[in-house]
Amino acid sequence: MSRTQRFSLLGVAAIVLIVAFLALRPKDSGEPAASSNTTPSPARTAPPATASTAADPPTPRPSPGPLLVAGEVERLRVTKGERVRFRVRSKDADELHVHGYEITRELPAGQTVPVSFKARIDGVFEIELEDAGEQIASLRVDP
Amino acid sequence: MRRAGSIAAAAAVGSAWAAAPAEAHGLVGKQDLPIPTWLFVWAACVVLVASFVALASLWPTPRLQEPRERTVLRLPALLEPLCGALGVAAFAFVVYAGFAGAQDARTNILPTVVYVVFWVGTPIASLLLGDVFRVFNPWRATGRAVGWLAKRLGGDALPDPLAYPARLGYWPAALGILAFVWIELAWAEQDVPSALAGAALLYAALQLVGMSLFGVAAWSDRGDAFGVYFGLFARLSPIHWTGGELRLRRPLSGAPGTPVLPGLVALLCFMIGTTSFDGLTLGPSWSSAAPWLQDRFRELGFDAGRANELVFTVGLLAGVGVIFGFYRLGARGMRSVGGDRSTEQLARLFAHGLIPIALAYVIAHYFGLLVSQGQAIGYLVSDPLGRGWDVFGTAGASIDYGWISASAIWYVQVLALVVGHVAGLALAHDRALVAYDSPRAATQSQYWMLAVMVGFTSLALWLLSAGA
Repeated sequence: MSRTQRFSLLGVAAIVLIVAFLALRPKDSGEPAASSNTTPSPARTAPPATASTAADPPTPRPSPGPLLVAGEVERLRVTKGERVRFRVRSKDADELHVHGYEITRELPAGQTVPVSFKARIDGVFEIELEDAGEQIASLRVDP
Repeated sequence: MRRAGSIAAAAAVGSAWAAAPAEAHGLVGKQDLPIPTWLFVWAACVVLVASFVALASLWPTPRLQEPRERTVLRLPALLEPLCGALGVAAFAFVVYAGFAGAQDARTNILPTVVYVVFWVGTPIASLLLGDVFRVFNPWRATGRAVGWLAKRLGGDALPDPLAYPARLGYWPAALGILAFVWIELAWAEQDVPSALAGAALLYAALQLVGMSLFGVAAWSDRGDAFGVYFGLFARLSPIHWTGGELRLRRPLSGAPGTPVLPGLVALLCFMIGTTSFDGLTLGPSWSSAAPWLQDRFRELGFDAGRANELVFTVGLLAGVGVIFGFYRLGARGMRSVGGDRSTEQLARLFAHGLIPIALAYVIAHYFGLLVSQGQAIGYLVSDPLGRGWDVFGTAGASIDYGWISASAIWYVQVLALVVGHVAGLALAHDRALVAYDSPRAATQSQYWMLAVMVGFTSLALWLLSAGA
């Protein structure tokens, strides 16, 4: 194969791949159009952890979100920019730790503590009871 | 220990755990998002197109077998002992920190140094800058210093080292890497600083024994797991430090010079297989299989922690076995092309083609960890023992998890895999041109190599996607 042939082959391949990239990529960057169907839906999805998308009908009081307790790992999933809301209750006094966001809350024994913050970092984060060293939820923030 | 709790919890609630992460270790604050379907599909297309273009258009005469290097810099003779002393001091200090500091994975500097800077940072540094670990290698530096001293004091009275047994080859290094990964992924005390420091000392002691038996050069080139591991990646680098000189060469052209020794294939398969297994543990397939396997071990009378270690050990060995088996299959296929080489000889002859793929696996799986947890070094150096010090005034800093977006990490992952794939193909192709008499046989043999590499790269992509 001659040099010219080789380079034209490379050129054609590059063009095909670039066109494929542009065609496949979700139209609005930032909108997770395709990423919403990347994971098979879990066997048991968490109740919606958010309540503040613009499309929602105006709700005067946002849902407080799911209740997280020890012994279960709840899956929370939001899109970047939305609010994450959940409640936590621990039998014994403990400390809540949201990894990555480095949010901590004191958890008095047996009390339900509401937590809410804006999801500004994408990724998958562990939410755990720090003293017990037990994971109670996995927070997934899509871009 | 952390993980033992997670699996027990998962076993208790079954499906609620569908895709919850099983942490690599307590260090990980943030995990990468799985790559989206469209990117998975596109990357798979790139791999296929690149493979066929490569088959059709790669060079017809060998180009990488004889490395051409040019010297750009002479280095002062004092540089190597100086760097070695630095390496020894750094090693001694982090081991001391492991024993004396807070016994917590996040506030003690040792786990971050070992799992992030050393294990993930050094391979990437080796690619970019050449074999930097060699000059800082604390074991090699100690061995050389002791040898130099003994020579001055004892003169010629020292006995010559034993000849390094040819059959041993890279096996000590391969087993060392497997042991390290077992500590990182399976050991219950993976995050306990004093336990890690103890393991580091044990490793250092083994290296000193090896060097005193077989000589510093022979042992550190073949037996020292980390020296060999980082040295293989450095062979891809355009920079080559040797004999007091800094030389430049074509990227990849150092790889064909990899000694074809027993244990080389095992070493590379350990590297790829263990990284694959680590990727797999983040996905739903593993989190549904692990509790079942753990129950089986508990039925045999192991406690929860031990059963958990066994589950990860089984997974680790299975991952390595699958990669090894697949590569052997490819080598067996190549044998059908002709020539008088055995499957084993062929497997070794082409093994250096796996080096870029192994590095691509490392980058794809640990780049996110490096850019997030790697920042922790900034504050850990100010308070290495976790005692509230502030030596450099940076102890108050924290990790900025947001500076690199999820999509930037995806592109780095996919790019690493595609480039590693093409580099692997190029190396294998170049070797085939000298290994076979006719260009026709060379090309035919490469259909098999192509299948192996497409398999490895697709596996890596699948592990990054949500499917795993």
